Amino acid sequence: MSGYFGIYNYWIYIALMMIGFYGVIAKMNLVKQAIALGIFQTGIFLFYISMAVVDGGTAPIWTTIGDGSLKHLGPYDNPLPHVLILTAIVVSVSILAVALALIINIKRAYGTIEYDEITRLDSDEIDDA
Amino acid sequence: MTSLQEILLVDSLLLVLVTVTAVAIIEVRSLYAVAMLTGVYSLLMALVWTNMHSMDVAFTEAAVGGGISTILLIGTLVHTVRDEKPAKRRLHLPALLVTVLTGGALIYGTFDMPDFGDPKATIHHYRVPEMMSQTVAFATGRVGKQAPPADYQPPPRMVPTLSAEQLAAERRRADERLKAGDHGDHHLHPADDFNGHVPNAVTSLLAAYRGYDTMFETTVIFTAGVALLLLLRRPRREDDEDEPQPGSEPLRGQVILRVMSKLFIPFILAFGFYVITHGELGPGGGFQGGVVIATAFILYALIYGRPALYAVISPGNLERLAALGVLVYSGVGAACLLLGGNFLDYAALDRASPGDGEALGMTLVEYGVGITVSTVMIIIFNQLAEQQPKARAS
Amino acid sequence: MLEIQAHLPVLVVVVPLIGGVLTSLMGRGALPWAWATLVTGATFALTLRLMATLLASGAPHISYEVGNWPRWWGIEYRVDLLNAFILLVVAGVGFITTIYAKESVADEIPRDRHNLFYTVWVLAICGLLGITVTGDAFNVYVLLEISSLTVYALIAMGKDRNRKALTASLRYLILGSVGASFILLGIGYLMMVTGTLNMEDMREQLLRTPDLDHHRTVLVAFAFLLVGLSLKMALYPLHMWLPKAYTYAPSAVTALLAATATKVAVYMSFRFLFGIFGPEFSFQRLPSHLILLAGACLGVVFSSLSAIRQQSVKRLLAYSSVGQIAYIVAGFSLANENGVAASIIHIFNHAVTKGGMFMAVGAVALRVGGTDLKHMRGLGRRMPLTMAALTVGGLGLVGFPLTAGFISKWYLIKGALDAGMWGLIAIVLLGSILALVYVWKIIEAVYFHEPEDPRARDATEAPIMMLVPMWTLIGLSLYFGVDANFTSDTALRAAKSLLGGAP
Repeated sequence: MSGYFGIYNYWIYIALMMIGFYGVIAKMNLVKQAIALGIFQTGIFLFYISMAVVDGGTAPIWTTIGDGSLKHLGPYDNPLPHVLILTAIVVSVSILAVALALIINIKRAYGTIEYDEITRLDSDEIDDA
Repeated sequence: MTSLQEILLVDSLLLVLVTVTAVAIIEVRSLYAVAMLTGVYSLLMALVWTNMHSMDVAFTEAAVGGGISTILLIGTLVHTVRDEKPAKRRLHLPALLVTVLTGGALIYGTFDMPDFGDPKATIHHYRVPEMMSQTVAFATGRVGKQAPPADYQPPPRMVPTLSAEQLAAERRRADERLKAGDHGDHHLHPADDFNGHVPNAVTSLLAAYRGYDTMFETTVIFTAGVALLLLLRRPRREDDEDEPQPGSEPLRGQVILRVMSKLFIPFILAFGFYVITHGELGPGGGFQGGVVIATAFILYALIYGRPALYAVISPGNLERLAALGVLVYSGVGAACLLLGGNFLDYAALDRASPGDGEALGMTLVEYGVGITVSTVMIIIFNQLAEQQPKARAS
Repeated sequence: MLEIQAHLPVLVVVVPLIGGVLTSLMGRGALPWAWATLVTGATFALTLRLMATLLASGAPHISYEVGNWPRWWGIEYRVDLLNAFILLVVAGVGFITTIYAKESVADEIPRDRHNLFYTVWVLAICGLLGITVTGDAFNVYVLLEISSLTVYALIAMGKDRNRKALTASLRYLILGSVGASFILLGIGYLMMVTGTLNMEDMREQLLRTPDLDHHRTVLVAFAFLLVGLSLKMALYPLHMWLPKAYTYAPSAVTALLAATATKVAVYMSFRFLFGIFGPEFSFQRLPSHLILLAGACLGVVFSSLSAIRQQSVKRLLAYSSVGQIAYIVAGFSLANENGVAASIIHIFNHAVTKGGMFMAVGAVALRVGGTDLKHMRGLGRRMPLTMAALTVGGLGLVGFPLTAGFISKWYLIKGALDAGMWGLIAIVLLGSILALVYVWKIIEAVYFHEPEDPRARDATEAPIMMLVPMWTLIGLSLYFGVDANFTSDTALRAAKSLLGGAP
């Protein structure tokens, strides 16, 4: 467990993030952009959760042992990143919901949800710098 | 050691699947297929989280990503389009360039990171073990918090700037302990049992130490619900009440669906309440339970039509309940203030036994989260499923 | 009995939170507005009292531990002179804009959703205050998302006037979320290195980290935070979301956003760059000040040039905002006392000036129905008080003596002299000349043309409920242009403590 092998797991999260990021920039379809944004965010979540893993650890949940007291037998994973990501997942689904609401409105107003077509429909304005 | 290798083995298989699914989501042009793939992606991610022992996150991902998000996406697609327009170029070169550069920068940053699963990583030693080695209340010895027990010893804190030799020595010591059958603690624990009430460390962190973040997380959900009403709610006019809405007519012919769903709904609801209440003992909590409860209502609306749902719970009441959840949470915080503690200092709720006060406060706020999450999810579903007026020229 | 004094830092956020949620239960009519005004007013009173408490205590900061958890483990609220000042600005402008919103919102937003609109409105202010007061890095992210989500919804409410509000909002949603994700990632990297989320604790841990300058994780965290924050601040060239968002949002929303949202993002940069990484790391060992300065200088020039070309006054002012943000960034990237003070002063000065100007434009939207230059023609006689406010604000943007804008530029030039950056002084002067050109375009249309638009011909003066808030802000910009003791003293003291590396 050293050298690149030790950190390769982080590279997968980067790969996921970048697939999402590419989608956000490259895709013209607004629904696709919103979904790609979600993938981008899960990449970050994966990074946080990877950070929490402890060699030999298990879930950070205590169990009742013989004398009735609570114990955790053995090492456990760090619960803090889990907590943060719970919050972040909630935030990301909220953003998705608002984005979809906007997209429905856009479809109603423009008749399309392709970004390049919308830009063409809006092209009557000075849009520079 | 073996367990980490297992994690990595399953991990690499899963992550290959996840990555392939992600690429497919970006590249497939049929948006309905994309919506289904998004569900698949979330369920795979839930497996990844489980594999990394993050049960609560896995539960949330499965409920939110696999369940709600997919429903929302399909609800949106009904009102928009089925297929993405074909792109002019297969590959968007500027986007690729930006992506590769950003990814490169991120990879550069990983070189000074601790190894994956390294028990010596700073984050496992600096503040979290201290948190975990508390009994609720002896944090400061201030009003409402207990003094530390006489035999309490502060947890060993590894200074994060260990030299290479020190790190190696630590590592050896840990290995020897493991060999001797001592599941020696990288974290000193547990005692974080909130006087026997909260075995799930994630819940105690979520609802107590970082309860304030969670209050705003609930507010974010509430905000999303209000934003959707603001953007999508149809103007309340009398004249369009009669026209039938697609998706609102009940599925009359589907006897099996109707009977089965009637059978299932009570169990889903019971499970939802169980998850909310059980959050302190195992994976789950207000958020996950709230989503489960919402799915029962959404299932009902899907099969019996939205008017049937509105007969059970009116849109106005849904909005009021969504606000109520946040108010329960912030109200508990304010009650702590009025009882002489700091904001969200649950110990102030029960002076005689601060641990019970903590447990009471955490249960109450979990219900607050559950109420807001379930009602907002139903609101979001209703709004996205609502028929939209014909496109207007502008 | 509850001692308000001891809980001021948390009440500043909790009062608008509970108040905002309650707004959704207020039904129709004027009640939601009245309630929102009450809540924001109470919040403003609390920030005033917080500032007074801080000044009276003489302590460098007030710390509040939420849930009575020690700050290393729980979430800490930490109020020093800098964020007490920003809180005052955000809550004050928030309160005044809420009063102003009544007429404007009644005109622009469907009546059946006023309660929802004001709910989101108050929660937006709550989010901005929360970002400002917290001392916890992850709490910043959560509150940032609250303020962003509310702002996306508020911008989209311009949809009934112009469908472009929808695309502007979605564009901002995508870019803003990418920016916020970068910030989340940066915070994650920092947490990995330091093992804590408390900002002060992070700072101490970073100081203890050996060979910090070459710690690749820290460097990448820094870069991603910088990009994320620049997006949120709308620093050139990452400002693309701003002009459209400001142009198509409802008038009251534009006034609120222009005065508060980007300012809070600037404040976040202060906290991260000076508070966590420390001025030496951010500005001496890394060339980030050069990157920021380059963005700022380009921003001043190009956004002003774009402003000159606009026909829509709202859009013109939006581009001018990009330029003004650039001045603020230029100030703090000098990393000397006068420069940082210039930034802090300008946060306030620009908030009142631009807030007041957008209010005047909103009054035109109410009376004439449009905000293009052609709608403004000849309004000097029809709406004299509104147009006078617009003109005085415009002179403030140029930086005329006796306006608040002059004070900011004065300190900025002093800072540039201290740093020996003659080029920056030239840019500041060039920016003022360009600003004069676009402000003159407005003045010319307003005073030297006959009304063109039929509605402009019989337009009447804006209602009193708009004039009072508008002139309060413009009056403040005049007052602090003449007697700048309070702002400049506070700013200089805050700058000193920031440069001392205090988190």
